[in-house]
Amino acid sequence: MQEKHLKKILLVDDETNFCTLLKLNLEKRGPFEVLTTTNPNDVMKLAKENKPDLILLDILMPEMDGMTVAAALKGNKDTKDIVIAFLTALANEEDVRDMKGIAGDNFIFSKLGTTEELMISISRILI
Amino acid sequence: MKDINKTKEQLITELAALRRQNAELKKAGSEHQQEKESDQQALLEIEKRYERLLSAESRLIQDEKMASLGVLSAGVAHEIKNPLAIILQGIELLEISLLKEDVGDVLAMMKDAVFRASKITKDLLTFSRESAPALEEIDLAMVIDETLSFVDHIFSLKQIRIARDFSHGLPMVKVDPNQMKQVFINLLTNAAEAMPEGGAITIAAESAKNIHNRKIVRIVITDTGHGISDEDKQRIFDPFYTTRKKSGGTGLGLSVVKGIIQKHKGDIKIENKPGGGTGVIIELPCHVNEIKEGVAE
Ligand SMILES: Nc1ncnc2c1ncn2[C@@H]1O[C@H](COP(=O)(O)OP(=O)(O)OP(=O)(O)O)[C@@H](O)[C@H]1O
Ligand SMILES: [Mg+2]
Repeated sequence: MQEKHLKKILLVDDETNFCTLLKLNLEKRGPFEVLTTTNPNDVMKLAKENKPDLILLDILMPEMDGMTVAAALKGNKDTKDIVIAFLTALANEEDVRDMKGIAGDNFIFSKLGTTEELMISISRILI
Repeated sequence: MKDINKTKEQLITELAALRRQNAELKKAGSEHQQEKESDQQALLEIEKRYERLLSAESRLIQDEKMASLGVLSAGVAHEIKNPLAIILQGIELLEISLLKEDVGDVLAMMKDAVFRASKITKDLLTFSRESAPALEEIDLAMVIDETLSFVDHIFSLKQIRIARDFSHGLPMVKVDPNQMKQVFINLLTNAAEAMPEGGAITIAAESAKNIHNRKIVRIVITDTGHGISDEDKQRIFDPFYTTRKKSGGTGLGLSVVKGIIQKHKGDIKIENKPGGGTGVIIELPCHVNEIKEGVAE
C-alpha cells in the first residue's frame, strides 16, 4: 500500500559512498525510493526501466558529465519528461548561477546543503 | 611575457653600453662636454624605461600567478567539497540513527567543521577570482560610514571603541564601493582581532598629496592592539599567511585588501605605532577618470 506513494528518485554520482549515504538519508526522512548508479552510461537504461519521478545528476563525473547525460535524456521520447536536477559540489553560488545557462531549465542543488534543505527543494518540484 | 623578456634583455644591453660609454667619456675629460650631456640624457631615459618595464613585469607575473591560482583553486575546491559532502551525509545519517542526546553535540560540531572547511574553499575562490572594479565617483566618508554602521554593534560588545576622525566632503574618488567596503571590513576585523581584551580604533581620512605630488585621499586606521612583529611584517600580505590559524584565520584578508587597492592604483602600508598598536595607511588617487587595466603607459 505505502509503496505506491513513494516518489522514485534516480541518483547518479560517481562517488559510491555519497550515493549510499544520500540514499539512506532521503529514504529515512521522506517518502522516497532512491535508486543509485555511479555509472552515467547506465542512466538511460535505468531511466527507461524504472521511470523515476526525478533524476538527481552529479555535474562533474569522470566518464561523462551531467550535462551530456541530461541532454541525452531530454532527447529521448521515453525519458524526455522526467524532471532532472543537478547536484553540484561547485564552490559557490556564482558558479552555480553561471551554470544555469548551460543547465537549461533543470534545477540545481548544492551538495553541501543539509538533507533537510534538499528534501524541501525536491518536494517543491515533485508536488 | 616573452615579449617583455625580450625588451628587457634589449634594454639591459643598451643600458650597459651607455653606462660604459658614459664612463669612458667621463675619463676622456671635458672636451666632449656636449656629447656627454646628451648621452647622460639618453642614459636617464633608458633607466626610466627600464624601471617602468620592471614594474610592468612584476604586475604581469602577479596576474599570471592569480590566473593559475584561480584555476587551481576552482579544481581544489571541487575536490575538497566532494569528500565534505560525503562526511556531511554521514553526519546527517548518524543524527537520525542515533537518538542519544550526548552525541548530538558531537555531531553538531562535526557539521560545523564541514561548513567551515567548505567556506574556506569559497574564500579562496573569491580571492583568486579578482574581479574588475565597478567604479563609481564617490565620497569615501560615506563608504566608511556604511562599513562602520555594519560593525559598530559587534565592536561595542567586544569593548572596542571606534573614533571617527573625518568629515564628509572629502575629494571624490573613483572606486568600487563594494570592494572598498570589503577593504575596510577586513582591516577593521584585523584591528579588532589584535585587541582581544578590547581597545580603540581610530579611522581618519583626509585629502593630501602623495610623493609624486598627486592629489590623493589618505585613510589611516590605527588600533591599540598587539602590533606586528618584524618577522611577521615581511609576510602579512602573503596569501594564507596568518598568525590566527587557531581562531579560524585563513590569511587571505590582507591579500584581498592589497589586490583591491592595487587595482584602484592606490598604495597601502602597515606600520607599528610607537606607543604600541598598528597603523594601516591607504592612499587612493583622486579624480581618476579611468583605471586602465594591465600595463600602465
Ligand atoms: N591590525 C593588526 N594588528 C596586528 N596584527 C595584524 C593586524 N592586521 C593584520 N595582522 C597580522 O597579519 C596577519 C595576516 O592578516 P590577514 O587579514 O591577511 O589574515 P587573518 O586576519 O589572519 O585571517 P583572515 O583575514 O583570512 O580571517 C594576521 O594573522 C596578523 O598576524
Ligand atoms: Mg584578517
